[in-house]
Amino acid sequence: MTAAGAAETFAAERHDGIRNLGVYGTALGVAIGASGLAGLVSAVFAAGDDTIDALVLAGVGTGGVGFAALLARRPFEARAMRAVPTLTACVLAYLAVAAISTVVYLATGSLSRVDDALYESVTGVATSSLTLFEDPQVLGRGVLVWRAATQWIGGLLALGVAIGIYPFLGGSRELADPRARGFRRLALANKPIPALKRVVTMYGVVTVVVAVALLIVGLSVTDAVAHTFSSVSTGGFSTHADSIAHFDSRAVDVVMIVVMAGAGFSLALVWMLATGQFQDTLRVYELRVYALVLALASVWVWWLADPLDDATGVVDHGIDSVFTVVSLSTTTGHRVADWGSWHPGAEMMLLTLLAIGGMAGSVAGGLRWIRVVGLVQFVWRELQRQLHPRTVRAVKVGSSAISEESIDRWHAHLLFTMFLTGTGAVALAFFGSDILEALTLALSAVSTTGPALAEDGGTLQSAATLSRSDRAALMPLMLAGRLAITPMLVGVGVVVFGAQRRLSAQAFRRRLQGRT
Amino acid sequence: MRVVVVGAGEVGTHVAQLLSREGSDVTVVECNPSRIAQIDKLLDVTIVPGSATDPSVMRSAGVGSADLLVAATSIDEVNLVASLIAKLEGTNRIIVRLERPGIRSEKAKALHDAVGATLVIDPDESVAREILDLLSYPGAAEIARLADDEILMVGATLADHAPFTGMSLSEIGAKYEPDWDFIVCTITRDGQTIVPRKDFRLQSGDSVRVVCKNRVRAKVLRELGLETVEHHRIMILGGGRTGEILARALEAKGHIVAIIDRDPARTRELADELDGVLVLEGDITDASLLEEEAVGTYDAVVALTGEDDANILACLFAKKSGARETIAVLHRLELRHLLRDAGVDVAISPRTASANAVLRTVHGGVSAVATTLDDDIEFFEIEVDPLSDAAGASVRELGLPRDTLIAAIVRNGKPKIGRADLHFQAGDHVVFVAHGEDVDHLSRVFTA
Repeated sequence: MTAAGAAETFAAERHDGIRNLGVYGTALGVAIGASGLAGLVSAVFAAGDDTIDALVLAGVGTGGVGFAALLARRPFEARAMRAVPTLTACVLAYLAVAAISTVVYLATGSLSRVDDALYESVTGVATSSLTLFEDPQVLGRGVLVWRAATQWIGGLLALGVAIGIYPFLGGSRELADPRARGFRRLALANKPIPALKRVVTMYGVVTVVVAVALLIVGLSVTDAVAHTFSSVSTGGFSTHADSIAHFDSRAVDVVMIVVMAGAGFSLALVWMLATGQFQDTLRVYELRVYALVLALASVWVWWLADPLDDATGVVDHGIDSVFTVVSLSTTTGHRVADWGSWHPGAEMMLLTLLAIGGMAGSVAGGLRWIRVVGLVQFVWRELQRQLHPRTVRAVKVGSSAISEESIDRWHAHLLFTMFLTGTGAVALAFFGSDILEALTLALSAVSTTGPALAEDGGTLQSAATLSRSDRAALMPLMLAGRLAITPMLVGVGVVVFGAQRRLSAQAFRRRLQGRT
Repeated sequence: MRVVVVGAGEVGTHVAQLLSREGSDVTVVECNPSRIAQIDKLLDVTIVPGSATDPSVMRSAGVGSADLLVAATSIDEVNLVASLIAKLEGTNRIIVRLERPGIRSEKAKALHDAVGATLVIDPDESVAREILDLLSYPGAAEIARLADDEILMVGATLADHAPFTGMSLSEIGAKYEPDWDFIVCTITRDGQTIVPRKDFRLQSGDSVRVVCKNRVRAKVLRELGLETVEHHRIMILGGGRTGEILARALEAKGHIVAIIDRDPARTRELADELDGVLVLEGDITDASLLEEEAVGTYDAVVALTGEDDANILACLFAKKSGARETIAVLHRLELRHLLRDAGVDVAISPRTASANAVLRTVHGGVSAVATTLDDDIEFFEIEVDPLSDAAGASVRELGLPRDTLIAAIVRNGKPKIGRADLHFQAGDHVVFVAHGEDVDHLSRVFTA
């Protein structure tokens, strides 16, 4: 390379860097701004509480920074969205919310250690329910709402990445809209900005509707708002130690079942329902599979958990079964019963559902049903190829053919998930967990659910009993799971390879200077 | 009748030939010099060289004074433009060939109206329907549905074991007196097709066409020595449009279907479109592929690529491997008579089905027409007009042309096989067997 060529390359890189400022500004502005809003809402609930100052400060401060970031990004707005800076910006947005939340926990005195505060914050933004607080009632109302709000923000960012960003960066369009195929128009919008706006609008509307429903069935305002935030985001944080069982109300259980099941729906389908496309919605294959699985799994769990040998009665036990199936299959983690002490067959079913999660394009974590159906079809095709070596067969979900590129990505996703789960389980076992706990904890963390099967029987609902090294091992798993893994890897890759490239460039420049 | 045919491809040439044989004044518009030279030798028609999308060419073909335009090129856009020009020039009836589903469907009716289309034809779909019919009647070489499906024409080659073999027509008639459910209409022996008399004795190897009541088809099929069990496993060789339409229809009927095409992009399209159909990529003349896929275990093998040689070779291989029936779509028909003995059970042409639709429009009151490839015999259906010469008359009184046969009538929805003492009533649907040149005369007798 000549000196002039090298100079041009460096100038182009600088220009790219300036353009990327717009992307980073948008992602961080939205995330930090949303944290500010959450801080202000929490401050309202902290009235008369000694945490109010910290929450107001957090709200005003982060809100101001977020707003400033959004204003400052305008001159640098890029015309086209590019994969690497956009996905890196998304990862940074998550980390920013986690960092803000860490400061809030420390500033409000809710937690005194930085690593504890960071763990609780990461668990929040990753919408996992494995909290540090065995009894959340020790926290003030404002912090309880803040804690749930971090899950709400985590859910919003996840939806934004899954529906508004990733499909437009060459990711699987089927994940944003189960009917998407080829260049077919996506249900929500065919461009990132309108799609993101609709995501925010729908998420907001659903949040308000759920809050009203929970108020109607008798929850206090704090409980209703906190559980709304943690349910529409499939987060699972509760304001009470025994989660939804605390309310001892079947009406609350039923409303929560509907809310959690809805959170496992593809947002594109919710949009279709909202715009009156009922027939088209019911034809979506993934929805049929998802509904059928929930129904069959509920019956399976109800039957295996021995309904007749239970003082709660057949119907109540049925509701508990449905609740638990829906809660875990949507990776929420709310609970009404200790499912860890149920029949092993029921536990195994629940763990399987937990690993698969909800529909594509939903806020739920996990592998997603569309991938499972697609990969089963792929296996079937490979079996058929053994019999008919020259067969040409499309992998289909329902009547929609899935592109080979998407299938490749789904394989990669599955392998990454297995790799993360395996590595996490090894690390947890290394730090002292038994095999069952290590495996189920890692699985639950990657799917962003939270609870696991405890060493001593029953369900592990809190991270308080875990060691600090266990929690340190869980954090990257939860974040990777929440970020649908690929963006996380891209983001990490950028940091690692970017640093490597910069070092190489510096070395090259020094060599060049030495020569001249 | 003045007819302008646009395009001298397979369909256009056959339509021009049929109409010219029936006495119409036919002009063909064609831009390909080699095709022009070919039809100049073959047909007694006027040829106008040039593009049918050029109004001056169409005017010199006389579309302004034509009674009918048949736009039959393989390019939809050319057919649409030619039709539009004809409509603007004042042609009364326009038949347009359209293949793309989007512009063929009812949703595109406004487009059809805009170009003045009286009838839209699609040779690919017609061929697929014809093959579907043949697959429903294993062993049959020809099938035509007439009179709202009340009447069926079945063509087949008599086997040694067929009950009809060795019997004279009078013996067959006596066996089924007094109520005939079928009638033997034509016999083809040694390349000659005749409308047989009652003393004619059937032999093994004769190609027989029988008109029967649909409800007794199983009995007739047995008498002809054909199987009555439908094919279940079907292999389609060639994944063109016809193959796709056929595969989709067969799959919908619950058959096990495999389809082979050599174009990787096309096989991917087929795999996307066809659920439940085994799509294979490969050359249909690749014996290792056919062996690998156990072609001999299929009940029927249908070869419908655009290459006659490949279709014939693949059918021969399939038959030798044990396939029960082979059907080949052929575009050149000169040697088709030799194929049966070699192992191709049925040879069909894309031209006949489309030609039948065109003839229906040409003959106006006729509601169904079946032409045959081997001869100029036509099976057609016509409704008796109350003001026609035929209303109230008997078969004998009408003095119909020689070799014309009243095969059946359908009166008030009930089918009846034709007999000499039959009296026609207004509203009867009459199924005729006649030579092409007599069709126009018969139409006049039965319509006002």
